[in-house]
Amino acid sequence: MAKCGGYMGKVLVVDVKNRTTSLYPWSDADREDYLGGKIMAAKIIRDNVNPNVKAFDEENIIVVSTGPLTGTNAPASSRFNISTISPLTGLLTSSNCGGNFGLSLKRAGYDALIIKDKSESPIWIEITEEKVLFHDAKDLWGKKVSMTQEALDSKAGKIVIGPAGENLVKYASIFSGERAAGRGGIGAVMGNKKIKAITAKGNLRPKIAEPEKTKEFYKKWIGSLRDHPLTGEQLPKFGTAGLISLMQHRNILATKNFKYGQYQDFQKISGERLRKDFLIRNKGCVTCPIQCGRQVEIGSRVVKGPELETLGLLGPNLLNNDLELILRWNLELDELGMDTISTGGTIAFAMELNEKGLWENNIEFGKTENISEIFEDIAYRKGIGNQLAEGTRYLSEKYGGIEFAMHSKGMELSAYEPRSAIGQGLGYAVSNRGGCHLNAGYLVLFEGLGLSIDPYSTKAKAELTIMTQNIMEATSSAGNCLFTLYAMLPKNLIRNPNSKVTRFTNKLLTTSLAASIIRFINKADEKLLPIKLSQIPQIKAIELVTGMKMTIGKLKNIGDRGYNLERMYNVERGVRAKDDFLPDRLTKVTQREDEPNSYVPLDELKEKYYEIRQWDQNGIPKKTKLRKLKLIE
Amino acid sequence: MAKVKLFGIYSIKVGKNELIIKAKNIEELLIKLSEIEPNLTMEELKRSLIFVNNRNITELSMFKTKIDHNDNISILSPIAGG
Repeated sequence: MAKCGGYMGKVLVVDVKNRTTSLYPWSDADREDYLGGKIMAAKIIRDNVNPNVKAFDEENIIVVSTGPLTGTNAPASSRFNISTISPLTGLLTSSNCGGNFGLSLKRAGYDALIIKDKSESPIWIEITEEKVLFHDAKDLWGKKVSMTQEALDSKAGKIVIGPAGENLVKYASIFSGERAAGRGGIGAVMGNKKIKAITAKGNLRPKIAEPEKTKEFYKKWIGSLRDHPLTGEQLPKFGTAGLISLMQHRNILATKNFKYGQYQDFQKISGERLRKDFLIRNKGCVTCPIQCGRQVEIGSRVVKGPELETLGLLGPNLLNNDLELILRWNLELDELGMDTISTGGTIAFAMELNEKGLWENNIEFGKTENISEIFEDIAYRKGIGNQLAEGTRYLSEKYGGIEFAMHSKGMELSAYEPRSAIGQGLGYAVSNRGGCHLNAGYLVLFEGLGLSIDPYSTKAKAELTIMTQNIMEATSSAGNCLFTLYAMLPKNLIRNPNSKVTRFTNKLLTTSLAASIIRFINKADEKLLPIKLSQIPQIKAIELVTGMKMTIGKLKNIGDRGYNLERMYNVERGVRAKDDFLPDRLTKVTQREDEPNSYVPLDELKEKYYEIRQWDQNGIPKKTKLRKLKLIE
Repeated sequence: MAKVKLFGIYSIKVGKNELIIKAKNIEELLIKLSEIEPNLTMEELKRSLIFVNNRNITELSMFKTKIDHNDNISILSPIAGG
């Protein structure tokens, strides 16, 4: 059993071929070094999956993991992580989800679940405190996501796949309630293992090291989230959809397969329009005070509303200004169990291939009438859907257009056009997961959304990217939603973007002085940063819940360890500097006629990034760095 | 006459998202806007993100930024999300 609070102390291993279970050894020392979530998963995968193993090999494993804050009533802490080898990128992938499975897994007595091998026939797995049962799933196989969930115990937490996962679509998702672990094709790995669903149920709760102090602290933390303009006002009122209008003004709204950063019809698909014409109520994850989710009405049905990424990639990026259609498409893709980001990105690329005469496919920018049919064709791998199901990188290798194939490491880019947020561009390129905005470090938060630092300056961008990547990595591994980190930006800076202080801060953050300070923080030993920064409440929360001593230095180093662990495993799988890549459209073509620096100077940014990360010029972490992070002896 | 577009919380407070206002500069425009729409105070308007033809006034002359006929003014608030 774990001495650390916050953990159940058990990691369940399920062998779906032999239908047996066991426990995985995971010590308190492991908990201190890797916390949980995606970092824990990376450690388990690196220790158990040979780098030659491919996504659909039976030796591939799926790790579903929670963090120490999950199930402790911490705000926005129902998140759980799913990691595996991705069929889309061929690398380690991690996907985070806000559904209730993570909480339920802990209630059943487990911090994490490792799925090994491959079943010969479709099954679903039932996990309770007392037992693990393997059920025949032939009646569920073929069902869409909501029907699958309705057929299972309504009181259990669930993860399920839809037809896209069954048919090994390279960007199939896993669903828990309405929430998706969307990226990287993890649904296809579950489908390949012939697992339609997993349920978990129980009444256990983790022990908390300082229960009264934790309760008191959570109250304050929730209050500060509610009092912050980003997490207490903007996100609850508009959801992530509210970003569309600001992205338009900042030239970062990916339009027409990232050819442009602005869309003339943006107001027709904006968060304001969504709120005015379709919003019924907010809905969020369990334990979350932010409630950024949307419930919208289409016809007489109340369904989940689209996130920003879905709006962007199925709207401007396809030159589609029909918001109601996006709401329907969002629902259709969720039912089929497909990632809306990669689906939108892949279709946009197919549209441009068609436009340029490289692949005649009847998919055209602005033409919407055949898109629903294409979704079905992808999910069931029919006709051209069979090729689209392989993703953008595959299509670019088959038909050409590498220079405008909007992916990095095989993963389609999110909806932020990075030529007017070049730090975000660096993040996309170096991200372990591939073209994901969050694993990138989400520098766009500083480059035009929350703050307004110079989006075209290279100064301090590598430094800031590393800092945010490390903190986000550790926060995610604690089981906390990354959105809680937005409250880290001082309220006054957000509330008054025109004040002298804010303008000074924006300027300061892209100076050599700031770069030097952030560089020092990034490289500093944890003992040099022994403070509990109040802007990052996760530090104190982890300490109160687990009983581990936690400081900003330690949290940062856990994140650094996680980021380097994932990198090292990807290096073992063949990743080098050339794979930290963006297509030429973003690095060689300026986005704005009036701004000569509106392109991503990737080589320059990468060089600095590698140097600060202590990676060599090939992008390989140096031994001194790995030793310092306790990743090698 | 400049076209003023309101986004986010400002559009909710006013109940519409577009107005036409004649003003020499941003300062005057905000004064007139707060008079036309009393739900928007001068203090909060001065705390908004203001763009003139897609350029942030922090890159221009702040509240002294001149407004020409047919300029497009946008008023927004900072936001973040995934």
